[in-house]
Amino acid sequence: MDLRRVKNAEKLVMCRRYYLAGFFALPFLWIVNSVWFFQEAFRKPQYTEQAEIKTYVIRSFIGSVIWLAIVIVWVTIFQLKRVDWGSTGDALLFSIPHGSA
Amino acid sequence: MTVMEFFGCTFITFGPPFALFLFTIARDPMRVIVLMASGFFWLCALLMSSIVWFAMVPLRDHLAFGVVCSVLLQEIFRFLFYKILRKANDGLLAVSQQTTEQHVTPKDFSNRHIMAYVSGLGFGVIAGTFSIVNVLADMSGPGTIGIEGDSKYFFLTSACLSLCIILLHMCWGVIFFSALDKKQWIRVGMVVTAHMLFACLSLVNQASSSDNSEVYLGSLIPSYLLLFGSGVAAFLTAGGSLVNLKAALICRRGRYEIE
Amino acid sequence: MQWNSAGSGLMREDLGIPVFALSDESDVFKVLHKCFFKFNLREKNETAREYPLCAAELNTKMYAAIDTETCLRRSRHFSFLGKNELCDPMGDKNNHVTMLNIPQNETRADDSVIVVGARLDSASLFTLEYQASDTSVTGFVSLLAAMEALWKVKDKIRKTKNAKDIMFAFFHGEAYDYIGSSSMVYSMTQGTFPQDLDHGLHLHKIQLQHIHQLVELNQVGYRDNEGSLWLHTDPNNRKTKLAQIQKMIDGLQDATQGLNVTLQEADATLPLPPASSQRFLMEQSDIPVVVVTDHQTQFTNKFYNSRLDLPELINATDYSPDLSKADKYDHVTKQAELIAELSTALARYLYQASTGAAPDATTEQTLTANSSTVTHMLYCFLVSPNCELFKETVSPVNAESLKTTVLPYPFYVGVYSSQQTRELSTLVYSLMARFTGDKVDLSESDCKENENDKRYSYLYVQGTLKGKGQEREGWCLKSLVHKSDALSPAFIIDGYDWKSGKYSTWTESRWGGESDSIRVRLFLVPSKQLQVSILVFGIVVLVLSLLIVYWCSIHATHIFTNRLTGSGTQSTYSPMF
Repeated sequence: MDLRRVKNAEKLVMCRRYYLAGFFALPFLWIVNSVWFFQEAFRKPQYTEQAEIKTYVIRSFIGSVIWLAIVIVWVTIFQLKRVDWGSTGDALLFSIPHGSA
Repeated sequence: MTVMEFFGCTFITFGPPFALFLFTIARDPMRVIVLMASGFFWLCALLMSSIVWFAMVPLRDHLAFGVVCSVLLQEIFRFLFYKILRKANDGLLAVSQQTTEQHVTPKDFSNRHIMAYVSGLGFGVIAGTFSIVNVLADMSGPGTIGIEGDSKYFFLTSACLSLCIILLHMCWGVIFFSALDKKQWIRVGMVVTAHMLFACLSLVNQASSSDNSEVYLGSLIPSYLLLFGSGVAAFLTAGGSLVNLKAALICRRGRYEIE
Repeated sequence: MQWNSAGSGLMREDLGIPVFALSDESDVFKVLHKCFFKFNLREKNETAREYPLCAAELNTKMYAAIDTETCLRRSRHFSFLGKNELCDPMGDKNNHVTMLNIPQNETRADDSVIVVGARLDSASLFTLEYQASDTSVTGFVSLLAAMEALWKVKDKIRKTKNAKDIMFAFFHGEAYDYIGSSSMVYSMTQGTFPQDLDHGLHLHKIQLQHIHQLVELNQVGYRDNEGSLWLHTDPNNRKTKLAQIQKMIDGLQDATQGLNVTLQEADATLPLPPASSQRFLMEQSDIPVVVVTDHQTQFTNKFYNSRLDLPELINATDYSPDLSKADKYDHVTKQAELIAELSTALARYLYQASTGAAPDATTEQTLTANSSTVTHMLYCFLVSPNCELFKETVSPVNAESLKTTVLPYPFYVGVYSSQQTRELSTLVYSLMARFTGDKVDLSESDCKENENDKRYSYLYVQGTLKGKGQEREGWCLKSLVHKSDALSPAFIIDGYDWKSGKYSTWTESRWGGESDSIRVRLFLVPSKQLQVSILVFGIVVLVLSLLIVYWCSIHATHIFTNRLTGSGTQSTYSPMF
């Protein structure tokens, strides 16, 4: 889809939808939102809907950063500590590796 | 044999074709389609050759028979692809003109050599792939060839020869199609002969062993000479000349804005 | 007390690399001649060889990890990909036979069963690579020979009033923390030994209070210079049952009169050596126990639980070089003679312990172990199972696989299966049936358990050769021989505490699959220079081709201009041609 050919009102609706949908544990939508509408929000000359689009883009970006931080922290802890957690560690795995802890 | 040899041989065999694909074919959907189609025709030729080989039970162990048969069948299928491509010219042109904003220009069809080059490359890429991919698959383990007495340059030679066949097919595509357009049967015969020559040269490799790696040079050097010759012939057929080449090399700057 | 200080803990050491023992000649030839000598062996002037050099990849990927508890838990882990078995409990079946056939509706008095036991299995660093000559074979073969001798006078014993029952027990899985004996003791406490039935005529249960005494044969092959064997006791046991133990020791020593075997009493302060009896004492510490071994303090067997526990070293294969196979089979080896003497002493002791009186002269004569049988058993278990004794004693079904076997059957307990037993256990069971059972006139299809009287088990075996041909007589043996599970109670008890260390928790890991198979691969390894040069060459080709093609594609219209000349104007150019 080429945003250049979409009307401003439609753009706002799309941006808002992506922003709201991201709250359902879908950070990737936020990432896409912030990248895709970046140009619209910050580089294009001023138009009426731009202010709202700008807020959505900024919030999506912040949300993505928070999610990224959470994921990195969890993955690090899991990789380092899973073996120490014994049976709870195994319960968290879907596919247990053969032959190693 | 280690991942290093694997990547080295992959780059050797597929480096130039990849570069050719990237810069001359990838940006144009029509060229990509013709590339895939000609590859498919080569596969059909391979299928036919294997059926013939399978059918000739007593001759199964004689590699030379299989090689000769395969070469002839490949050239037949190249001819068939030429016929189909020319007949389909109309339809392809109509399709390409519908989407007006795309990059496809009728130039692809006004310069017949472009499609000849693409189909030759398609033939070549699939031929080269089939020739090297099993060897590559065996390469990536921890060991290398040689415990049964084979030469340690086998992998390098295979990669170089595969590269050679890919580029050769590309050159032959140009020469073959142009010769058929102008009904120059001698040239068609020369392509077939060159192909047969290359294939039979590779049979020389069977005599190699760990002490006798020089045998590989007996097939590598003539093959590359053949490649050089075919390349020059294709270059001239497609409209190039030494003068133009020199001009392009010398006056590199400020030339391309004419296009 | 370290009984085997030279070898203690050797098998549990983590070497960090897989180790393979190659015994197939063609494999060894490949490693030496096609690989090492050809590519790696240094030249005479000590210079190293050039690349490519020969290398080997050893793969022993096992599925289990950490410990049994983790492995079993992971096996039960839910997976969409189906069952995920990672390890299996080890075990097999114990074999036992009782002299008397007391049914469950009669009474069995306390202290009325004499148990005499031996272990069947051994362990080793390498799978299926060991003969366990002294570790277990001498022990159980002595016991089998004693059994054969004793059952010759079974009628006399059975007719004697108030004779004690004698139970011969062969424990399996002892090398792995006493799987078999702990299983037997556990089933005794649960009241399910020897038969776990609740209806029909079956043997009266035997529980720990019924056991009068326990004699065990351990390693008996490496006797010291005086040719003695040692009688060990447990110091704690002595505190409560000194009189009885003394009686046992005296009885055993008396039984050796006139025989070429000396039984010496080991120092009373020494603890009991590692033995299956330990499990009985753990449960009930006042059962009098005597263990017969060939060592007093340190093991005389330097190759306990090792692939080097060879029959040659215990004089069980002292053949002269020109003997034929058949003659080797019949030749009574030195070890066979010694074992026969020991078995005779044991049989005589058991007779006396059971009936309460020493055997009279004729009975004593009958109570002599057959050294020919002993040497046959040693041959079949240690040299080759393709021998007459086994051929007679197996069922027709098993006879087929016997024909193709060359190497001795393994002494490894293996993975527990409720249906099947491995060769060792099956063969001992068959031998027990043969030595203690009666031949009854039933056809092969009829030779099975009687619904009314489950005390007896029936086994159909091939029997001896009929005359000159290949045909065999075919016997149906009715006996009191039974199998019982040798599976560690840890896997039976609900909610067993895996950390308690009370029972054996050994499991065997699974392995397999295409890429994970156990294998050794030999191949050549190229020099680093060759590898790097090929990689660099490839990268150079790639980069160069990218540059050249890019340049060509930019200048393409200038290079390929000749087509426009001499082919007319654009208008005659139809797209078609």
